[in-house]
Amino acid sequence: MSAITYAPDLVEEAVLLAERTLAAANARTFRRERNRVYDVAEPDQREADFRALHLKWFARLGLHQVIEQAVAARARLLDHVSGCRVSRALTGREEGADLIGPSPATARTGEGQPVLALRLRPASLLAPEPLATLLAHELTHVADMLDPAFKYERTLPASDDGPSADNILRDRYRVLWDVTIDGRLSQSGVADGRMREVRRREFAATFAMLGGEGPRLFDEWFDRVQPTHPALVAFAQAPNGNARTNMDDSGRCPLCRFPVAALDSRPERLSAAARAILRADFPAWRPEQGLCAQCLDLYEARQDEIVAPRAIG
Amino acid sequence: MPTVKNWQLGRNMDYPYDARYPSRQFAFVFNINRCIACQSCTMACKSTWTFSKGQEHMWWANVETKPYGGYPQWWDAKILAKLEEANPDGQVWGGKPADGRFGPYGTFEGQTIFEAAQRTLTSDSARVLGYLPTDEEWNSPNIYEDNPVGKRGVRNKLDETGEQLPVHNTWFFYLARICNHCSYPACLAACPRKAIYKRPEDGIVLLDQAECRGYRKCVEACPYKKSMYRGNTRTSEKCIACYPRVEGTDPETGGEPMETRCMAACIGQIRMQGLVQVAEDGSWAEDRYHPLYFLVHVAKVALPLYPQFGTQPNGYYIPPRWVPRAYLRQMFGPGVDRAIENYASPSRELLAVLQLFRRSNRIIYKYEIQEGPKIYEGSLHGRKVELYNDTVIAFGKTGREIFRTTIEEPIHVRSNAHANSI
Repeated sequence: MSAITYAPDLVEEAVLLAERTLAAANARTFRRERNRVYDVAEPDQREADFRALHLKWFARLGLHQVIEQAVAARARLLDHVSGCRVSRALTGREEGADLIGPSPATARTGEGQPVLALRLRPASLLAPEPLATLLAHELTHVADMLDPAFKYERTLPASDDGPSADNILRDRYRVLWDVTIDGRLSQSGVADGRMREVRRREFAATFAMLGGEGPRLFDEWFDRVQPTHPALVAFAQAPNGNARTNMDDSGRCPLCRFPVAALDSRPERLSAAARAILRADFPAWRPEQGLCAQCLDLYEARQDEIVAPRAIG
Repeated sequence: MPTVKNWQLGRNMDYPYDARYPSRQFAFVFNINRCIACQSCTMACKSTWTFSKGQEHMWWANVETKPYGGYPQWWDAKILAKLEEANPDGQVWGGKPADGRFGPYGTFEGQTIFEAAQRTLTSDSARVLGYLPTDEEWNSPNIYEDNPVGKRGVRNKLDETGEQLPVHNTWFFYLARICNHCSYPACLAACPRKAIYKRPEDGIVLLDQAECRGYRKCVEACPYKKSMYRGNTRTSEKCIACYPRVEGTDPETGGEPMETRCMAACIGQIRMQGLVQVAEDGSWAEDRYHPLYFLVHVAKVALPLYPQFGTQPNGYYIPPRWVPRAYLRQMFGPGVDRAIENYASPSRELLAVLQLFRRSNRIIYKYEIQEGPKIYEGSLHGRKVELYNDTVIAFGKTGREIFRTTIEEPIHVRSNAHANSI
């Protein structure tokens, strides 16, 4: 792999942010050098001078070190990429790692190599510890993508239920993959011990349909040593197939038939009056089947209308 | 540090430079009771001044939804928090409102951004207390202003305890903002290159692009966050108050001073901009029949935005009537109660002056009222109300009449010559 390349706007912004932490004499030196570049009249030359100056200070301030160390720690990963580019993310949500270019599968067979793309906020480069944690997590994603045993596919199976079902599957897959990654990083001592609780909450929110089985299944995924893409997809598609619950496994609300991320597993929240109205519409419905949050709200509202009709006029 | 007089705070305050005042000052009044956040002002400014490469994130004029919104995000909450941190429980007003032009809202007993800086910052940056907004805060104007969201940092999840909020009346209002062309600009105070200056003829604060070296101290210092850094030129930029229009040198003006693009574009007719006379001590010189002077110093319905910052901003707001007073007092100072009372039960003269908003794009220097007949009598808020169909006449710089209008809006009868004609 060739050297890591850094986007000029990321480098410049990181250096400008780091300038505040410099000793006064160093800050003056930096400003003296930078101010001189403003006097270069030819636009292309001035731009080139700015870039060179900021890159020099980027290296001098060691802002590249955490990235270089994190990438170097994944020496095997580097054999399968043609380069590594670090660009600027505007938001925390944009931060991450990905492979661009030829698919990971071709990289594995040596037919063509993708580029490792890292997106980071300039401010993140000034916080070494959180950055190291972030990079460890993100580079594990990439390592999984390149690992033949993981059997990664770029696209998830499309659902016949349309885009909302695709989104639900993607969200579940993302949460599950994150759980397995932080589980492995915890086992190797890289991730913070508190990560288990963070991921547990995220898992519980995403897979609320698992009910009492949720914690056990979370532990199973978090402690799994060698997860695979097909296993993650299978679980994301049918979480209940892996748990002993009475919930409908179709991923659709039994009442409105819309795809839902999670059925409400607490139909007992429905009042008796609302349940009676619901039964009038759906005689075959049983509380154990659950219902989506929207239907729950709907029947609660209808009950309210009957109990306390709103005066008009 | 030198001491200057701040009439809005009713006291002297520290400022890095000695006081120097323009002969006239660019100022404006926004009646935010009427703002509908149509963003016409925002786009008028954008399409005039900030449409180029590198200016994508710049909105010299913007309208944000309060209390949630802000551009950059949380700008006011952040600087207020910094001031509170610097002077815990000390950011309070005291004293009595003065009758004159100095201290009409009482005396601010807390610390301004200049004073707090001396206590809390290291010497290198001790001039102004501020902060540098992040990319994300700049890049998301109006984001989520009308959306429910969960706790910060929690993805794809609404706040689980939101349903436990106490019963409360929801409220919001739209806050239109541009650079306040402050009398004591924080951007100017912070610039290590002295690239920012205040024009002696109209008090407009400009940033010399040839002198700027992109330190971003002005971006950090401006408490209203109206100085912005441009990455491709590596200089900062800010609102220039459409100075060619204000000077009367823009081809469209025909030599007569004209209001800025954002003012002229306001379809809600919430805006009026002018040039007020400045006294030797930096307060407004008495100019009884100048509409802005009347609104700020006579009717006292228009108040400065966050006067406690200490920059003596020249943007004034008629506060929205329906918003909790504590919030408004924080934003506009202790003059809020009187302002709302006077606006809700307007005097005969105030009613007339409010008719001047946006009848013309020319800058009004003086008005005159010709009394008309009584057209209504009734009561409002328990008070007797009488409406007179007075005529208000606006005069320009040379004393020439610009327009005249009446309290009662004229009725236009559509001609029946063409079905859809006006």
